[in-house]
Amino acid sequence: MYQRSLYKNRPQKNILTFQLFLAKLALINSNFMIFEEEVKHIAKLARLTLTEKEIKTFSTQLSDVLEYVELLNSVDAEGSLETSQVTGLQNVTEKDEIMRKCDGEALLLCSPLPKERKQIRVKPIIKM
Amino acid sequence: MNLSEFTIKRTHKGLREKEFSCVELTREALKQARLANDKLNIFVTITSEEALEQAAKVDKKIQSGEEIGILEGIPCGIKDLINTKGVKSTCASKMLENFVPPYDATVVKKLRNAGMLMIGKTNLDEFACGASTEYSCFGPTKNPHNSEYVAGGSSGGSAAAVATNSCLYSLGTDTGGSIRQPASFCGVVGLKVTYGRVSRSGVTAMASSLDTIGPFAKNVRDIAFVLQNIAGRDNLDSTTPDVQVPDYVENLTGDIKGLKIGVPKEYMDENTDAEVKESIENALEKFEDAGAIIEQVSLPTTKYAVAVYYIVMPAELSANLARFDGIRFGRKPCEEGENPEDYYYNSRGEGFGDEIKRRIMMGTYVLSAGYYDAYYKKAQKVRTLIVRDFNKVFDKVDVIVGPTSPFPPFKIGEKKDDPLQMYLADALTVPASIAGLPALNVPCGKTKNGLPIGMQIIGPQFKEDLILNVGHAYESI
Repeated sequence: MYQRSLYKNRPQKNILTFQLFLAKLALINSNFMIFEEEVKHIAKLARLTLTEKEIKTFSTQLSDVLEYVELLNSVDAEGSLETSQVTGLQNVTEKDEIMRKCDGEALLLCSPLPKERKQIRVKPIIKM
Repeated sequence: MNLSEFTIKRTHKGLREKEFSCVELTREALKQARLANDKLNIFVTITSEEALEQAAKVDKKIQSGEEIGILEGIPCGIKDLINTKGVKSTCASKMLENFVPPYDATVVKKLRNAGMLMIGKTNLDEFACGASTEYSCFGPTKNPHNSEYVAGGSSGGSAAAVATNSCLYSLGTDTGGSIRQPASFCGVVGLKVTYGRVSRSGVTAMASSLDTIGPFAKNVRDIAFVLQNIAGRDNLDSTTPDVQVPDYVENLTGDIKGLKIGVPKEYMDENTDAEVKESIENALEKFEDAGAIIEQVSLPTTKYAVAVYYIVMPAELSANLARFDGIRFGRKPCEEGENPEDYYYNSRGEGFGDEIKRRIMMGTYVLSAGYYDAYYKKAQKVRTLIVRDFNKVFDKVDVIVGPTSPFPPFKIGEKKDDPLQMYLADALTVPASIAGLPALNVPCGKTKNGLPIGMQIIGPQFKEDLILNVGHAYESI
C-alpha cells in the first residue's frame, strides 16, 4: 500500500521563497555579482541595445539566477561525462542532394530590407 | 451542436455518418474560438477563411462517398512558432510580428496530408520562453477556469484552445515543460514526446538538445490519433532516430495489472502544494485498485534540474537566436544606424522582449571564455547524473508518476517580474526534459477554488505507447 505523505495535513511552508531569501543573503556576502558594467559587456557580445533602466533591472535579475545556479557547486560530478545529447545518435549523414523547401524568391520575401538582383541590400560594411 | 461533448473519434463518426457537415462543425468551432479569444486571448491569428475552404473540401469528399481519415476535417490549433506556409508565424515576438513563412514545418505538412483543418495559430510566451504565456508580445492568455489566473506556458494558447472547445486538438512545443504545465493548468491532456520522436524541421528552435513537439487534446485516445500522424523519422531533422512508430491507438488496452509505478519522493515533498499532493495520492489509489503496484522511488538529483536547465537552455537559446538579425528575416528597426552592426543592435534591442534578452544574456555569459567550464561544462556533467538517476529507477519500475506542477495555476502578474520564481515553476517538468523522456499530463482533480490539477506520467525513451496506456487506464477507472 502506498504511504500517504506525512506532510499532508501540515500548513504549507513557502520553501521556494525561503530559498530565494537565502540566495539573496548569500549574494550580499559574496564577492560574486554581475555588476552593471558586466551586463553592458554581455549585451555587447550578444548585440543587444539596452536602456539604462534595463541594465539596472537585468543586473539584479541575472545576479539572482546566477546565484541560484551556484547550487551546482555542491554536486560532485568529477569523472562524470558531459551530456550534450540524449538519444545516442552519432554522425547522422544525408545524401549529398539538394533539397528545396521553397524557392529562393520566396525566401527573399522574408527580408524586411530592399532587394536588388536577387540580393538583400544592407548597410555598407566597408567605408570608401 | 455542443463541442464540449465532442472528441476526435466522436466527431469523425458524426462527419462520416453525415450527422453534421464539416462546414457546420467548422463554423461552430470558429464561433467558439472567437468568443473564447475575446475573453482569454488564446489566438494570435484565427484562420476562418482557410478553415472554411478546407471544410468545404472535406464535405465534398464525404458527399462523393470517399473515405476520410481520422483527423480529416477535425478543427485544430497550431502554436505560433510552428511554420505554416502563407500564414503568419510570429513566435509571439515583435521580432517576427510580420513573418509569413514560405514553407510548412514537417509536422504541419504531415497533418495537412492527414486532412488538417486549422482554425488558428495559438498564443505563447515569446519564442516559447516562459511558464505562463505572460511573456507574449500580444499579452497573456488567461486561464479558461478563472480568467484572473494564467493558462500556463509556454504553450498556453494551445492548451486553452482545447479547454475552451475552440478546437479538438492542438500542437505545442515542450522544452522544459511547455506542453505539460499549461495542459495541467487548463485541465487537458498534453504529451511531451521523447527527444527526436517528432521532427522539428520548420519550428523555430529554442534549445536544440531539449526541444520537442507534441499534441494537446481532451483525452488520451485523441492524443494517440495525433501522435500516430506526426511521429517518425524525417530527413529534414537529423535528430529523429529511425525508431519504429508503434500503433499507439491499438495499444490503448487500459490493462495495467502488475504494472510497476514509481513515485519519486522528491516530487511529493514539502515543496509541492498540499492540494496537488492529495490529488496525486487519490490517483495512485485508483491505479492500485486497477492492479498496478505502487512503490516509492528516489530521484536525488531532482533538486539540481532547474539549475542545469537554466544553464544549458539559455546557452543553446543564445546561439539559436543569434540568427535574428533583421536582415534575412526579423525586424527592421526604427533607427537603422550607419552600419550593419548598429542595425543588429537596434533590430535585436527593439525586437526582443525582456525575457528573451535575459535568457540571451544568461546564455552568452555561461558560454563566454572563463565561465564555460564553471557553468556550461559543469551543467552538462550534472545532466549526466540526472539521466543516470532515471535509468536506475527504470530498472525497478515501468513508469514514474507524480505531479506535473508543484503548485496549481497562479495569478496573472504574480511571478512575471521575478524570473527566478517563474523558473521554479518548471521544477518537476525539467528533469524529464533533461533526460529526453516522454511524459504525459493527465488532469486528476481540482483545487477547492476550482482550478485544475495535473498528473505527470513519465516513461523510458520511446515508450509513448506505455505512458499513453497508463493515462488511458486512469481515464477509464
